[in-house]
Amino acid sequence: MDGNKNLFKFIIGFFFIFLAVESVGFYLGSDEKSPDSKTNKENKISLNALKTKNTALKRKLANFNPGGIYIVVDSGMNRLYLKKGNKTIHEAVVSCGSGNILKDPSGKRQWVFDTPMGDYSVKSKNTSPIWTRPDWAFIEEGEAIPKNPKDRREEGVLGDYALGFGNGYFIHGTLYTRLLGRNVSHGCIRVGDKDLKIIYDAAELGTRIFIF
Amino acid sequence: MIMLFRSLTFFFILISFPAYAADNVMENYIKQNQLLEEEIKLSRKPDIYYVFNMLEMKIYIKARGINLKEFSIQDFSRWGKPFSVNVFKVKRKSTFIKPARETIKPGDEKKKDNFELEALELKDMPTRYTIVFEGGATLFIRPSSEGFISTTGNFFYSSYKLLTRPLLMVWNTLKGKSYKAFNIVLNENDARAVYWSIPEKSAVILCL
Repeated sequence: MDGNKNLFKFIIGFFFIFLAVESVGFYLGSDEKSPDSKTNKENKISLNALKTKNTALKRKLANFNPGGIYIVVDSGMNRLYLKKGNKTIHEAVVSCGSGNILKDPSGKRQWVFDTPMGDYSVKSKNTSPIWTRPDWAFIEEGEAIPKNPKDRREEGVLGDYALGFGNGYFIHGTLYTRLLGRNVSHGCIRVGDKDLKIIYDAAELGTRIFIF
Repeated sequence: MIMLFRSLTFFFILISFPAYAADNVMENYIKQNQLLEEEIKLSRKPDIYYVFNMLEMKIYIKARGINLKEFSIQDFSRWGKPFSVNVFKVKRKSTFIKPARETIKPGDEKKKDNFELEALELKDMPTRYTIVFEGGATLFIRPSSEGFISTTGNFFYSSYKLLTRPLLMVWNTLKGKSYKAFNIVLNENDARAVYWSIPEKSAVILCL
């Protein structure tokens, strides 16, 4: 009987302590004061000065805009946008990286087939590009890696044009047009023939490519 | 007498409202300027950055000051010490079931008669997850309550956070650390897209 009473007292005590801690937590956590209302009054900055600063900052930020044409790739939606300023000049359905993993049977190397996200630029432009198959292309197919570099060359698989943006990544054509709109590539951005021609003609060396 | 009282009340409202409105305008300009200053710093780097602007209830994916994509925030709440604009670095994304990558078996593609696409796609991304920032702040993203599953999930989440957050707040205060947590509600597709687009180590500006 005494044991039950003590347990009951313990539970009640614990409950009250818990409630007290929760209340303190709520009080500390739900601080609604805006830090700016204080700063504002303390500094007494004039509204005009704030407006002038705002305009100057906006202008400064706008200066980072590369100007001219740039490419935006939404790798999740598999869309490529050719843009100028805030206007979209052309939109294309593409295929970005599959996100799959390939491990070298020796266990020494591993590849993750993601399209890299970030801010890049067109580093090379090629017509009738020839694909130099990297090691992973042979490993994926279960083939031996050739010693002669000539045996790595494959024609016709990259379409009519390729725009390189570094580290072996390209915007190029594809034989698998039915898979456009799906994440299926090894990291490159595959584009349909008609769209590729438009992108190739519009982009110059140095054109910015933003991938997210 | 009543007329005099009414007139006085009206007069006080008239003179106090413009002062309050002016304060608000100034506060917004201060926030906007802070946001622009942080954006300018990030725009110098060749990286994509993310702006969670609670004043506009929008999430922006940006680079070099260019707006690449935007999402609408349906609801937002904050827990912990307030601030106007702060830059956080993503430490990790935490979710109950992490989207799994397929591992390719060498030579397997040749053996297959039927092509089956095995890839990590947007539809595989979670809609309910936490972005943990360096320094301990957390941003929880969840879908709006539509249908039984998301409504039940949101109910359990809200109950869990209601109990644990005050405790974490006290615990961190006792340790001398600041505790900040944010909740954002997006539609399901936007929640998936945000998970997809925000990689680890990327910079996020939060503007409250």
